[in-house]
Amino acid sequence: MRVRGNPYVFVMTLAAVPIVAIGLAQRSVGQTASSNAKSESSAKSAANGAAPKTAWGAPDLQGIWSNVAVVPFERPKQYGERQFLTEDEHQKAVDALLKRDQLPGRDSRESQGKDIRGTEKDVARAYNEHWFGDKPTEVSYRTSQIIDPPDGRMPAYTPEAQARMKKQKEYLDALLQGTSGGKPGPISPMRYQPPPDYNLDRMNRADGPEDRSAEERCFLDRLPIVLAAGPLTPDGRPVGSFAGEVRIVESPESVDFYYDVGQGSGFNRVVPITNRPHLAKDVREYWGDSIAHWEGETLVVDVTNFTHESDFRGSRENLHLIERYQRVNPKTLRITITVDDPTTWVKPFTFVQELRKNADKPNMVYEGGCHEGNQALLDMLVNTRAAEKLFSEGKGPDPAKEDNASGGGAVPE
Amino acid sequence: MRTKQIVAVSVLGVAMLGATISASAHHAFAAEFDSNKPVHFQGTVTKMEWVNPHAWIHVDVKGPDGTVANWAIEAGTPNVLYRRGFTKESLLAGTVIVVDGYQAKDGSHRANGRDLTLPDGRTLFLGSSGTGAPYENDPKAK
Repeated sequence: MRVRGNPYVFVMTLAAVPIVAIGLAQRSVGQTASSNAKSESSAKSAANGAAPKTAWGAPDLQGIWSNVAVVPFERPKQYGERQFLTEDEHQKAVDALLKRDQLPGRDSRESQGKDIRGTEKDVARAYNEHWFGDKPTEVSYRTSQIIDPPDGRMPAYTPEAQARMKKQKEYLDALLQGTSGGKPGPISPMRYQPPPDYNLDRMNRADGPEDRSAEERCFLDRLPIVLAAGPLTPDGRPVGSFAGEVRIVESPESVDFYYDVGQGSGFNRVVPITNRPHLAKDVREYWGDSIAHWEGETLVVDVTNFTHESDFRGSRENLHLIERYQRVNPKTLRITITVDDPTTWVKPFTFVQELRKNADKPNMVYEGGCHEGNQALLDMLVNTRAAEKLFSEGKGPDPAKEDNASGGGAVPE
Repeated sequence: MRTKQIVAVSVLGVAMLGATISASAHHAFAAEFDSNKPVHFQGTVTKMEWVNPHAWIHVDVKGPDGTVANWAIEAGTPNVLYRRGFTKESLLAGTVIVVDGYQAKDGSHRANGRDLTLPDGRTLFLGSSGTGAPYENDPKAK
């Protein structure tokens, strides 16, 4: 899980909500947790102590950080330009989340009220919920991660980007046509055509590795990292499923980010603190070219030179990120990211994640290394060939008429 | 512990959280495993491979005719399993588990581990906190 593509992103509560981390369990049995988090000013006043410094005097961002609270990426329209929930609104949102946590999900073998046992969707869901871990129980007071534009919503896509994305969607839809996950109809001739753009999606075809999604091919996670929400144990360890963590280590010359995310798709990113210019335009890197400098207490990282194999909500090689990392108090790291790509959006937008410090002990991040045992990709190709052979012998269904691409949520879609 | 309190979902709450949130899986299991080949058997663990992106559990399964076949069961991702309290000691060789899943399309002895339980019905995550899965709250719900 990844939250990319999902309009609802799970992000941790901020400095503004220092009480919520330990308060939800009590709240869920009827108590009302107090809150002082309705505005930026109160967020600042909630800082419980000065942010620490490294031995060489730089702001200390080091440690393992994760998200604990749910907040939509885009703001529901009803809130207009209001950035924070009222106390009553927040309580209702918490109640709704806890109610949602009660949903049986995978083990109900139902989706939208229908019994899905024995369907492709049931297989796609993979495991029962024990594999996925605890669900988030906190809700941020923020009405959205996006803080600019003021309506908290992503700016419009450019006509060029709209055309690009429409073409890709039509292609993916065409490959699902005639399956349980698509529109009725015959097998589309598009099935025998290449995708309109370099494929990173789960498409309903497995003729070769590049038909499979970036994740299935063990492309490591891409910037900007938006961590999903998962709860912490009382001693400060994350227990969520694929929520992910980031470990930050600093030196005077560089800052290292290790992202422990996804299914072994974590990666290491060493960002130099430097005044050098960005790399030449023809030098492209999967995670872009990151250069950093300090502005007071804030680490500012400028990232350009992405490749066409990067993708953030439709933006590929022209993505430009300005990330600002600020430890607003000992337990809270605020990451403010401005996203720009004039070929994708009509104007830039800015969103905020607020991460909570995990315990230093007992806690660890785990190495990624998705490629080390990715038997599943081979299995997808081998088994699709086997299914085609069985079909040709009249012993099985036509795999082109099965949904081998969609589904797989840990909770009902 | 999770709340037992069921609160009516408000319109506001739904708007805030979304009624159809799903944790996106990264993996098209249906390209790999066959929905027409559900499997359910008891087996003895022979080894567990702690590899990314998915762990694999190998089990010996005795058929009705007494022959033993070794099956490979695709499982969750190691970093998540560790955080769930699932360690290398959780499934030692010799442990008997019950597998409920789907077999690979090519008919080989590979399956996804949809449900993995101990023979007495206990889950494999005995040491972890509650997951909210229905049979933790109500054993009959499974």
